[in-house]
Amino acid sequence: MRENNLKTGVQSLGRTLSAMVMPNIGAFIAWGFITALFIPTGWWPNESLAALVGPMIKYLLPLLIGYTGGKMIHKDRGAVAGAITTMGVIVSADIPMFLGAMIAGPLGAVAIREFDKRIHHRIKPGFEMLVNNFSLGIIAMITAIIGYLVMGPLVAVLTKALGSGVGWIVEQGLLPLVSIIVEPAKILFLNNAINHGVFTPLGAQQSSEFGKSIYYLIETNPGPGLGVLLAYMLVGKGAAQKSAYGASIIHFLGGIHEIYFPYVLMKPRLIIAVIGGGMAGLAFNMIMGNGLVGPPSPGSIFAEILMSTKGMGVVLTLASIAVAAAVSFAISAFIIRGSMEGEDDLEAAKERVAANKAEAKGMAAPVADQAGAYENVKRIIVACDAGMGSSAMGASVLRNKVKEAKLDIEVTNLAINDLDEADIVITQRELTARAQQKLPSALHLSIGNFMDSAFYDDLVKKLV
Amino acid sequence: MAIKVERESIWLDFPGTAREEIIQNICFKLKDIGKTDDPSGLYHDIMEREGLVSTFAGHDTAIPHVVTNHINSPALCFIRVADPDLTWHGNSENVTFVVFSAVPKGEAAATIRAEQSQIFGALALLIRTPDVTSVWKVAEDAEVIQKSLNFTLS
Repeated sequence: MRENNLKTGVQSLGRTLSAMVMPNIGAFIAWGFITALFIPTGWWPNESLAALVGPMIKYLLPLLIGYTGGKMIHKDRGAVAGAITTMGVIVSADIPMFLGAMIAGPLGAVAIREFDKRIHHRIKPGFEMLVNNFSLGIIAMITAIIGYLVMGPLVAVLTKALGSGVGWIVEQGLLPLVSIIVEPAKILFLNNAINHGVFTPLGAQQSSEFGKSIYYLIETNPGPGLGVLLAYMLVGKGAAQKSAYGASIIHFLGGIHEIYFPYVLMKPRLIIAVIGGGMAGLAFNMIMGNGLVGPPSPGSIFAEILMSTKGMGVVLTLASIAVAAAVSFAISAFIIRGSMEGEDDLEAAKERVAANKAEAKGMAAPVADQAGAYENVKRIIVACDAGMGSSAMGASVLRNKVKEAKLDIEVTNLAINDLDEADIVITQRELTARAQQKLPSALHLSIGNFMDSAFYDDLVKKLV
Repeated sequence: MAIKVERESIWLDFPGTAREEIIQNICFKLKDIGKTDDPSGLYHDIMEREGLVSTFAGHDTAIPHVVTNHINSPALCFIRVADPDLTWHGNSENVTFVVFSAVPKGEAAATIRAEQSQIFGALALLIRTPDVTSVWKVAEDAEVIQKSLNFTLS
C-alpha cells in the first residue's frame, strides 16, 4: 500500500508540474528559436532581435507557468493571482524563476480560492464586481509581497543548491547515471512530468547562460526507444514484431514515445536496454559538449534537429541518437532472443496471463472490509479516472442489481477527482489508492473488471 | 441526449493487430472526419489514460475514452475490428468491439461527460445482450448497428 501511495503521490506531483509547463511549451520553443537564431553565436546574429531573449526567459516564461499553475487551482481568478504572485518571485532574484513560478502560481491561486470559498456567498447583490476585483487585487498584492520577501529568496537558494548539485553530477561525469531513474520513470508514464516539470525549466536556465543545454536531451532522445523497436522488428516475432514497424515511425518521426512503453512492459528486462541506450546517448553528448537550444517537444527526430545548435550541433545530435539506439538495440536483441528460448520466461508469461485473467474476472480482493460496513449504506459511487466510461458501465450494472434487490441505495458514477460523499466507493485496483486519498471516510472496494456481474452479486448480497 | 453515434463514426472491419495500432488508426480517422487537428496529441492522451488502467470491459469489448484538449467536438465511435485475435493489452480475452469516446476539456465538459455516462451505462446493458452483439458481429451495413445503438441510447 505504501508503495502504491508513493507511486500515486509521484504521479500526482509529476502531473501537476508538467500541467503547468506543457501548455506553454510553444513559448519555450519560440524562445529557443529566437535564442538559436539571433544571439551573437546564433545562425543569424542580430543585436536588436536578441534583446527579446533576456526578458522572455526572465519574465514571460515564469509568468506563463505561474499563470497556468494558478488557473489549474482556481480558473481565471486563480490564474491572475498566480501571475501576480509569480511577479513577486521573479523580481526578487536575478535567476530565471521557473521553480519559483511553479510554487508561487498555485499558492497565489490557493489564497484567492480560500477567500472566495469563505466570502463569495455572503456578497450582497450588486457588489459582486467590486468585491471580486478588489479582493483579487489586495490578496494578490499581499501574496506578491510574500513572494518577493520570502518565497523568492528561499527558491533562489534552493535553485542554486539544485544547480550546484546537478553541476557537480556533470563535473563528476555522472550525468549518464540519471538514465537509471529517467528511463524507468518514462515507462510509468512520468515522461512529461520529468521532461516538462524538471528538465525543461533546468534546460531553459542553462540555455540562457550557455546557449544550449544537455538537459533537453536527457528525456527526449528517441534513440533508446527506437533501439527496442528495431530489436522487436529484427529478432522478435508475432504481433509485437509486426506492429513494431508502425510503432517505430510514430515514435521516431512523430515523437510519441509512449508507443514503445508497452513493448518494454511486455519484457520488463528491456528496461536495462533503454537505460543502457539513455546512458550511452548522454555520455556521448557530455563528452562532445552537445546540447539543444530549446526543448524538442515532442521528442521527434525533426524537433531534435530543429533545436540543435549551429554548425556541428545537428551532426552531434543525430550521432547521439544513433549511439543510444545502437546500444539499446544490442541489449534489446540479446534480451528478446534470450527470452524466446528461455523456458522460465514462458512460464512467467503464462503466470502473467493467468494473473491478468483473474483480474479481468474481478477476483481482486477488497482493500477494506470492516464489520458493519455494509449496514445503512445510502450511496455507492463507482469511480474511474474520467468518470464517464468504465465507471458509468459499472454503475449501470450495479444499479440494475440494486433495483432488482429493491434496495434504497443511490448508485452513481464519478471521476475520482470529483468524489464527494459516499458510503462505498468501487474502483479498479490500480486506482483504489487515489480514491482512498480523495475520500478516506468511505469503504473502498477494488474490482478487476467493471463489468463483472459476480462482484456486484456478492456486494448486493452483503447489502441486503 | 445530444450525442449519438453517427453513421460516419461506425467503422467495420477496422485494421489493427494491437491496442496501440487500433488507437492510432482511430486518431487518424478522427482527423479525416475533422474531429481532431492533432492526432498525435490525442493518441498521447488516450495512451496516458490507458496507462492508468486498461479499458478492456469484457464481453468482447474495449472502451478507450479520454477527456482531452485535442478533440474539436465530442466524438463517439463504434468499431468492429478485423483481426479475430486482437486482445487488449495483456488480457487473454479477445476484443471484437471498440467503443471510443473523447470529450473536450472545458466549461461544457461536465455536461458532456454526464451524457457520455448515460451512453456507456446503456452500452453496459447492450454488450451483455447476446442477441445484440451477435447482430453487431455479422452486420454488413453500418446502419444496422447505428439503429441498434441509437434505439437503446435514446
